[in-house]
Formats: sequence, structure tokens, C-alpha cells
Amino acid sequence: MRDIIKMIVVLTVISTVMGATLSLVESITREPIKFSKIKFVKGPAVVAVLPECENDPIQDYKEGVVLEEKAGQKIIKSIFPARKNGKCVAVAFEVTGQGFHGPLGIMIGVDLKTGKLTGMRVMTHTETPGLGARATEPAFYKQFSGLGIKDVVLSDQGGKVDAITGATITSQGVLGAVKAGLQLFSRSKDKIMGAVGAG
Amino acid sequence: MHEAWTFSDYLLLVIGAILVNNILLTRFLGNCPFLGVSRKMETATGMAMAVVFVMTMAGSITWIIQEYVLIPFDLEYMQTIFFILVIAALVQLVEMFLQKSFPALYQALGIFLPLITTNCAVLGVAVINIREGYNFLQTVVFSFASAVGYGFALILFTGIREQMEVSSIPDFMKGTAIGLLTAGLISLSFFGFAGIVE
Amino acid sequence: MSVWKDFTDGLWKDIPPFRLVLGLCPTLAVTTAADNGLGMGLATTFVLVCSNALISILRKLIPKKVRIASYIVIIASFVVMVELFMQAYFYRLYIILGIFIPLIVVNCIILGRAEAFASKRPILNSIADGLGHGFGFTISLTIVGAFREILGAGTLFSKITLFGPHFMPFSFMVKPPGAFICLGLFLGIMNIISRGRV
Repeated sequence: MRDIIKMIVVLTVISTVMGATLSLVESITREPIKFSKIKFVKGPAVVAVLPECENDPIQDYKEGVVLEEKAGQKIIKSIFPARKNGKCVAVAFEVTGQGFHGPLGIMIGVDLKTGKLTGMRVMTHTETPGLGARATEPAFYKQFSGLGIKDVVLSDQGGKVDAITGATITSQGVLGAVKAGLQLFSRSKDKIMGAVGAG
Repeated sequence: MHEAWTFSDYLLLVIGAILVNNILLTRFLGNCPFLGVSRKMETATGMAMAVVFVMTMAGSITWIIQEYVLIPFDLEYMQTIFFILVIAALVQLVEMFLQKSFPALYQALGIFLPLITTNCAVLGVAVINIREGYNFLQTVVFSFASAVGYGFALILFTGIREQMEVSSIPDFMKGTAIGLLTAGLISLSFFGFAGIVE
Repeated sequence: MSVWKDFTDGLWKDIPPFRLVLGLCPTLAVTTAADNGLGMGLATTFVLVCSNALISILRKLIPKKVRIASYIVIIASFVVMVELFMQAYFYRLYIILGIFIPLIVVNCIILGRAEAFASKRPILNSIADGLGHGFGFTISLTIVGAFREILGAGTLFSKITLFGPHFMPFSFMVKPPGAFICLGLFLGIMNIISRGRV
């Protein structure tokens, strides 16, 4: 009987002490982990859509900027600012769209002055390889640089973007998300300017 | 997230797990027991069956733990510690259950069960299920198929190894060294299946 | 002096995974490049030293019957710590090593040293033993990784390009079959060397 009690006590003490240590380590590493996830998962796309930046937009990013508030529904984005000669010239933020198989995670860069796209990259998707997945290829994403809200439409509908062959739904999902992002930008330009300290 | 999976999607998952991404030969999981128990066909078959049994159960149970304990309580960082304890406890329970209820099966599998706790394939598949974002049915199918793939490779390998017992091998290559070379050749032949599943 | 001997044993006499044939799965899986091998080796060393030290301190308190369970809890906790630290400060490596970081838990070297050494010896010796075997493992992984990287990609530590522009990488070496065959040959060579010394 004494043996059993000893066993239970020892195991409980070991588990409790290790558990407490772990939750301490977790609380120390929580912020750095969040930062490195942003840096390595979104970082490459952020840098790619902000071609003119001279700063490190990931280091300078602003978390959880409230852009709109409608009937208790908040639209919150993390904003990555691009600075040139010390002045903020463009911002990047993430938008989501609906593809053929699932959600599309898209990073867009917007020029502060003109409100036009500085770049677009599809970061996460579950589209079919060889069809919808070609949204990540230069032939598709290069078309977006320099486009304004009105241009972000398929070319056979009067816009400036050629759809990916055989993947119209994916193309439209990307276009819809980018367009919504640009509209969001033009509606809440002041708040974005305020958050990144420009204007 | 995914659209509803059709039967052919599941078939591809099974073929992929057994032939194309065989956990033993391309993901390198569970190599220690692979080289350890592959000297006799009898032990290899026993191990293969025990792995199928435990891996399918462990995969399902760890998925449930992840979904209904770790995620709700925000303890995902404790995944490793929970999973290994669950697997260790499960192996013990299975052992006791078999001993009481199915003595014949226990006779066949008994000595392999304790070894399975430290078989990294079991923990590995449990972690892969979570990282790939499989739902419950996909988890069960994938765990089972991976285990079958493991058993398949193990039995195949043992067949060759039994033949090697009677062939002349340079002294310095005997044992694990020639075993690894053989595994390499089997792995090379499995490479022929690459491309069946994307 | 015995502390020094415990340290050097792991570096040559029992160098894992060549002499002490344990921990083959990570050796096969992560040695596609020298720096991956180095990272994996150091992560394993950290867990090995910490768990050896703690188990040695607690060796008189832990009852025999629950010792394996206690060891698993201790080892798994240190593995979770490594996971968290790597995510925070070495994210790229964390992604490359993938599921093999949680699988350090079932690396037989660690449980093996806990059972065979740390559970019986004082703390200083146990730390020396952990450091020795950890560094031995790290050196082995780095050498195998460098060998496969040089032949398979023509680079070293992902930065230094060794050959001219006409070099055709022998990409077989970084593919799964290459891992088995390469490690098998290394084991054979180690056998020749040790026989020569005897």
C-alpha cells in the first residue's frame, strides 16, 4: 500500500512540476513564436508585394488595426507598412477569398497615394495542382501590379486580368478578394494612414 | 475545409500511404524495430499485426484528444507529451485486455506490444494526422493504411533477409549494415510507385 | 577521471548511431543536408543532457515500477521545450525538421541512456554521459548530412558551393533510398575501422 501511494505521489509531483515549467516556457516564447510565424509564413509575400520598401515591414508591422465597425462586426487587419526615404509609401495586408476547393489566403500591397496595387501574392490555397494552383505563378500574379479597383476584373468582362486557363472559379475568387481589399482600403484610408503614422 | 471526400479520394489516400509515401521507406518512421524484428518471418508477422492494431487505435484516440481536449483548453503546445502518454497507456490497456479476453491473440502479439510504445511510427502517424488537418474518418483510414504499409514493407524485407542468412556477405557488412542496404534497394523499388498519387 | 571517460565514451567507443545502433529514424530522415543534421543533433543533445541530469537527481526517489512512465514524462517535457524554443528562434529549421522534433521523445538513445546510465549514476557522470553521446550523435548526423549534401546537391551547409557550374548533382543521395544505402555503407566502414583496431 505504501508503495502505491509513493508511486502516485512521485508521478503526480513530477507531472505537476514539469507542467508548471512548460507553461512558464510557453508564456515566455509565445510572443517570439507569433513573430517568427508572421515573419516566415507571411514575410516573403509581404516583401514581394511591397517592391519599393527600404525598411523591414515585418519588424514595423501594426497588429490588429480596427478598420471598420458595423453593427458590432469589426474588420481587423494587421498592417505592414513600406517606407521610402522615411515616409510611408505603401501598405500590405491580408485578404481572404473563396477558391474552388477552399479558402485562399492572399497578401496585397496598396500604394498610399494612388490607391493602386503594388503587388499581389496567393499565400495559402488548396487548389488543384496545374490548374487553380497556377494562381501562385508569376504569369498570373504579375498582371496585378499597378491595377486600380476598376481594372480588377477578368479581361473578357472588360478588365485587365486574364483568367487562369481551366480555373475560372479560382481566378474569380482571387479577383473578388483583391477587389474587396482595395475597396476596404479606399473606405478606411484615414485609419490606415493613422495606424502607420503617415499623412 | 475540404469538400466532401469521394470514395476515390479515400482510395488514393490508402494507395498513397501504402505504396507512394510508405512511412517506413520514404518517411523513415519506425526503423529501429524494423531492423530488430526482421530476422524471422514469424516475429515480423506478429509485429506487423500488432502495429496495425495499435496504430489505428492510437491514431483515432489521439485525434479525439487533440480535437476535444487540447484545442478547447488551448494546450496544443503540450501535444507531444499528451500523445506519448496516451500511446503508452493505450498499449498497456490493450495488453491487459488481450491477456484476459483473447489469450490466443495475446500469445501471438504479446511480446511486441511493449516495443510499440517506442516505435516512432505510431507517434509519427498520430502527429501527421493532425498536421495534415485530416478529419476523423480520414484519420482512421490513413492510420490503418500507414500501418498496413509498414507491415507490408516489414514482411517484404524479412523475406529477403531470411534468404540472406544463407548467402555469403563480407564480414564487416553483416547485420545492420547489409540490412540498411537492402532497405535502400526496396525503397528504390517503391520509388517506381511515385507519380501514381500526386 | 571517470567523468571524462563517461564523456569520451559517447564520442568514439559507443558513438551513436554507428556503434550504439539506436536512433536510426532521425539519422535517415534529416541528414539531407549538413546543417539539418547539426540542428537535429543539438536538439537531441539538449534533451539528452537535461533528462539525464534530472533523472539522475531523482533516481533514488522514483519507484522502480513507475520509472519508465516517469522517464517518458520528463523526456517529453524537455522535448516540448525544444519545440517551443525552436519555433521562437529557429523557425526555418523547425519547419524543415518537421515531425522529427516531437519524435525526439521516442528516440531510443535518450530512453536508453536514462535506463542504462542516468538511473544508476551520480549527476556529474550523467551529464557527462549525456553530453558525450549527444555530441557523438551530432557529429555523426553532421558527417552523414555533409556527405549526402556534397554528393546530392554539391553544396555544404547550404551556402558553400563546392564544384564548378558543370557539376551534375547526384540527387539520388538526398532521396530516401540514398539515405538507407549511405548509412549502410557508413556502418560497414565503421565496422572495418573498429576491426582494424582490435
